[in-house]
Amino acid sequence: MAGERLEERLKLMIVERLMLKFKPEEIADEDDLIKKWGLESVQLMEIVIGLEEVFGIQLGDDEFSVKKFRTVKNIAEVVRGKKPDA
Amino acid sequence: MPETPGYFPASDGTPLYGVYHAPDAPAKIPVLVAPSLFEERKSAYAALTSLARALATDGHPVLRFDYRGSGESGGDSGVRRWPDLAADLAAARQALAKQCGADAVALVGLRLGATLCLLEGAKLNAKAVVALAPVIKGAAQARLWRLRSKIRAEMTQGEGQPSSGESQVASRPASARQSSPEALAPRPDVLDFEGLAVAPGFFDEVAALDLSTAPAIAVPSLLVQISHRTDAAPESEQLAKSLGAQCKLTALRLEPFWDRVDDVNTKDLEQAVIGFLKAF
Repeated sequence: MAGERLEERLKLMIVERLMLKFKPEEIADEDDLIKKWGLESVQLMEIVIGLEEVFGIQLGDDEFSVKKFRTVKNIAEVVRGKKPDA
Repeated sequence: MPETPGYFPASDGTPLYGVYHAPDAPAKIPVLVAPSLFEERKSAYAALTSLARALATDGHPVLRFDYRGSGESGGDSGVRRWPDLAADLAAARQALAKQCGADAVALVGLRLGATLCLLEGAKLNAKAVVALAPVIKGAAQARLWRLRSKIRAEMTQGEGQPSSGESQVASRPASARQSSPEALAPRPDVLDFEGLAVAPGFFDEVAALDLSTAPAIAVPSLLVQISHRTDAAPESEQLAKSLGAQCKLTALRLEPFWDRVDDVNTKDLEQAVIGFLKAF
């Protein structure tokens, strides 16, 4: 896992945590997770919790928006904003 | 197995709705099924019904019910408080005992229903408690409700719209947007949680719950962790330890069906519950 691109680690976390039926590598960085991969609103919430547990990032309620969690690229920006060395 | 829907009175006379699942003979320990609340109750409805049927098939008389202000029960969710849920659980326990003529019962709860069963089990003289994915820290649950409400509001308003940053849970007056017993006409005296009326103070009561600091319960219990993990999370292990030596912890790799629109296969969960209750 060490040295792996943040985006790839995020995809793995998303697929494992949400028990999705597809492979992490099938998700492109800029895929719309809701429109293309059918994620439900509550699953975005699970991603938030996953970021906290896996990456040690704390997000305030005000810091969350659907737009920031729309794509893996967006989520990676959130992570890097909180943890530049991620 | 015959399933008999009906009403029984809460302590204040509020009619509570329940469905009694009569078992095939011989009967094992009666089981009371305590659901969760809000959207979780709706999403988990099929899974808990299936669990009740599986238990009845295995020989357990089962009663599943709705708290006041929820589902088919009477009452107003806009004035419902945490102690009301405990009172409704007690009323349901009494109704089940009366229905099947046996005083010993086991409690099976999901999410907040599981938290309630763990906190009230000893008081209700339960012989066993099964806690399915209990809410361990109420503050975390209250935060999830806020986030969920915010996500839904954003998605309803349209993607990318700036958020006000205000919690939908605590800011809007109630409005009737859903045809649910919990959905009411506009009322300034209640909170609107995704169109469901909630009493001011209820979320604070939930936020104050913390099972990890609750005293051990003197009732054998099964704690079921339901998640993507096959191993026990530290939080679950801590809770099992807190619940005492009579608590057994099991980790099931299963989607959180209370948060899913589509049906989830919960057969493994049913087998875990049936297996645990065989000892009673």
